[in-house]
Amino acid sequence: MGTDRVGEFEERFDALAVVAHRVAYRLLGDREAAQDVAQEALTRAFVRWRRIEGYAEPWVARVAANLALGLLRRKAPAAPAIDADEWRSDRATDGVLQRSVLVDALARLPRRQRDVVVLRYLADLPEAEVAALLGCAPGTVKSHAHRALGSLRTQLGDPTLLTAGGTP
Amino acid sequence: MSFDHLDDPQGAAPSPDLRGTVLAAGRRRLRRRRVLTGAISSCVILIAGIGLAGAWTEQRLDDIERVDVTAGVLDEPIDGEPVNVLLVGTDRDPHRAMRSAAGVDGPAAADAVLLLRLDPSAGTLRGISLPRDLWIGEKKLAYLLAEGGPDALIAGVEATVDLPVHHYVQLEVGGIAALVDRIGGIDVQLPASLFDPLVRITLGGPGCRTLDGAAAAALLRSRHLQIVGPDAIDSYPPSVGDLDRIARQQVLAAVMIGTVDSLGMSPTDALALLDIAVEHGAIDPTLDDATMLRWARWGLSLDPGDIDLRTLATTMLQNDDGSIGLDASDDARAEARGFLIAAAPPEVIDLEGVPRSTQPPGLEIRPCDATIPVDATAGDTAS
Repeated sequence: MGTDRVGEFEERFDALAVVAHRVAYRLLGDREAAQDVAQEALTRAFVRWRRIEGYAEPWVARVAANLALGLLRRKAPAAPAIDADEWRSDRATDGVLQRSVLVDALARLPRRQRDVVVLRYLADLPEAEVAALLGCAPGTVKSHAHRALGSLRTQLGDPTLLTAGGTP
Repeated sequence: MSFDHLDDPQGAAPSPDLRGTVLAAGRRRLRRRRVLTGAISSCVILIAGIGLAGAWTEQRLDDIERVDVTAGVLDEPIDGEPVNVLLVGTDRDPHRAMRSAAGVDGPAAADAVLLLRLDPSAGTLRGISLPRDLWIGEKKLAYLLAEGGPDALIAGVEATVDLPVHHYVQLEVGGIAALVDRIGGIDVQLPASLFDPLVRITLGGPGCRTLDGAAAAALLRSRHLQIVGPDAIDSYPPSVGDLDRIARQQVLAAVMIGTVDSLGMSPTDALALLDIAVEHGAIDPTLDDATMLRWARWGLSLDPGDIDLRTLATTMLQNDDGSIGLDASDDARAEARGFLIAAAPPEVIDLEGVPRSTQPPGLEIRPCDATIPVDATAGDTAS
């Protein structure tokens, strides 16, 4: 990797680090674990920089989400089962519970829809950037998002979920 | 509703030392990749140089065995389009041949199957490893070659990834042993003393050990590696052992190529390597010298980040007759195909519950820097 490449990566480092940390923390709820995930996602981005610089933010967001979900899956046996009723209960203010329900719901989504939810609503990225990474039209992103949110609302039993402020 | 309420209350700004940590880790990974690519390039330069230099080399290349592929089985590559090359590691393990009563000269099993996609336009080389125990209908991938020849193996691979195969290259595991002996052995870090009674290898550990050709070939074959002594790990059935082996083969390949690169090669060495390739390799009838040299020149232009090798995701599946093998879901096959043909390769996707090829804890073999005197033997069953 030449000096120019390193320079370009460094110029965008802070923005990429924010995206990676945001996605990881929203899923993990643990600062230290989120930092580890962000570090790994950023390292992978550095190694592949020439190929991903055109869509680095969504790429980093997806890698961070995959790493975080993988981490959660490995820890899953110790986690208590949580259902949608708990999401709607008073305990829903508990971030730990909400994350568990969210992760479980995400795992049930088809891969493409899960990617769109992660990139649009966990990474807060615009449709155009998501479309660039996924190699599809913005309209396709929109339709994936529509179907994914419908599934999530059904699974979580909350018709208001993601209806406000859900468009970054 | 958005997910703002799940944000880190301390903010998402990176810590001051994160940038330095990431750059240092990234540079280390790039150096490791450069060793691999540099070694490949060194081999390619030498072989290409030799190939262009004299008629002798061209004649030697003509001596490479041609496998029997029925006309029309291989697709014709299109000029300027990516080329799919099926690279197959074969094994005529004498022990297994005796057990199967097929004889030492019996048909070889395809123990390593790698579909490579060379894309000169994009400047990328990608590959998907297919486990030997993958079910193709009622048969396992490894035995398609022995029972139906390259035609059957090519058809099985094409059906798995839904891509055409343009060329076929085969290397017998004996070639690996000859290569390792030629470069004076390879150094690997062992986590403990290990043995595999089926391939008859015992490796003394823990620590760095030098493996000769026979030991390296046995380790490449091993699917039942265990720790010697009371801490023995023998809980991995053969199918998962195949995934372990793929991960181990990738480490050993990197160590071998890194060793070639670190030694530097004289023209004599390069000719010896060419001889090994000719002696132990085989190619399809349509692959000519000019194409091989064109690949060689193209290989010189690759950067470390342009090479990406992965493994088909699989799950265990028991056949009606009780045989255990591996099955790839439609999602896994689509993922493999997508990885090979996508303009930008997707990151590895989490397929729930699907094991990837990784070495099991306690049995990880790694490259090493320091070398301890030889303490590895092959050919004797562990006592």
